[in-house]
Amino acid sequence: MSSFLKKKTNFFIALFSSFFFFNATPAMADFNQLTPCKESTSFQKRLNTSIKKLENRLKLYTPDSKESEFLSKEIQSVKTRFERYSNSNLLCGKEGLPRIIASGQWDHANEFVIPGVLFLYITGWIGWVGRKYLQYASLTENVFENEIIINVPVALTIMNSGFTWPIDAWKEFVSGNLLASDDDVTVSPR
Amino acid sequence: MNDFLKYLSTAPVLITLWLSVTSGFIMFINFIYPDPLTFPAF
Repeated sequence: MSSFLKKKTNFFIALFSSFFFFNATPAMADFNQLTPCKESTSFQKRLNTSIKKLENRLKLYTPDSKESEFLSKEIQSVKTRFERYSNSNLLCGKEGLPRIIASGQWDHANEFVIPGVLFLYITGWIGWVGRKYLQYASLTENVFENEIIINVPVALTIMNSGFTWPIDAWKEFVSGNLLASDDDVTVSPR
Repeated sequence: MNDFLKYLSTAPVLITLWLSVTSGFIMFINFIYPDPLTFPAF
């Protein structure tokens, strides 16, 4: 391994470990100011007021009208929403609104960590297959034409093969193909 | 037909089609499972 690659490896290890270790302090945090939504009285109050508002509007229409059908559906969806939030692990503030705990602790992982990791996975997938397609295009005869007029069958095969991108990226990083060497990167004269 | 397929494969047309499909998919998910605040546990 060349020294430049070693430096970069150390940098990445430091970067990734910082993600984990800086999370360690708030992960232990207690949420004294928050109560589970199920036990929160203001959360319950919010449910009652939103239902009441809809029911007051419902009174304005005859039972078999389109508007009343819509409003009854709306009431039902409000009820299911509040029921779902109170059945989940969500914590509510004093004002009765649910809060997302983004500290990385496991009992609240489905609020931020799992969707966040999923987001990174999907965006990484998109970036990885895009890069792969550009690499494919650069090897063809008409480089620019292949970037403007997409070769759809090739693009689809590349897209479908992208789901293992974290492993592929790590493999390329270890073999030194992921990053361009410093000599290939143009730097303005200084 | 070949020219038409080539037209469909140009980047602006392709991204319009692709993003329409993607946004439609997201709307569909939100229609059958509205108001998700946490990742659902199955």
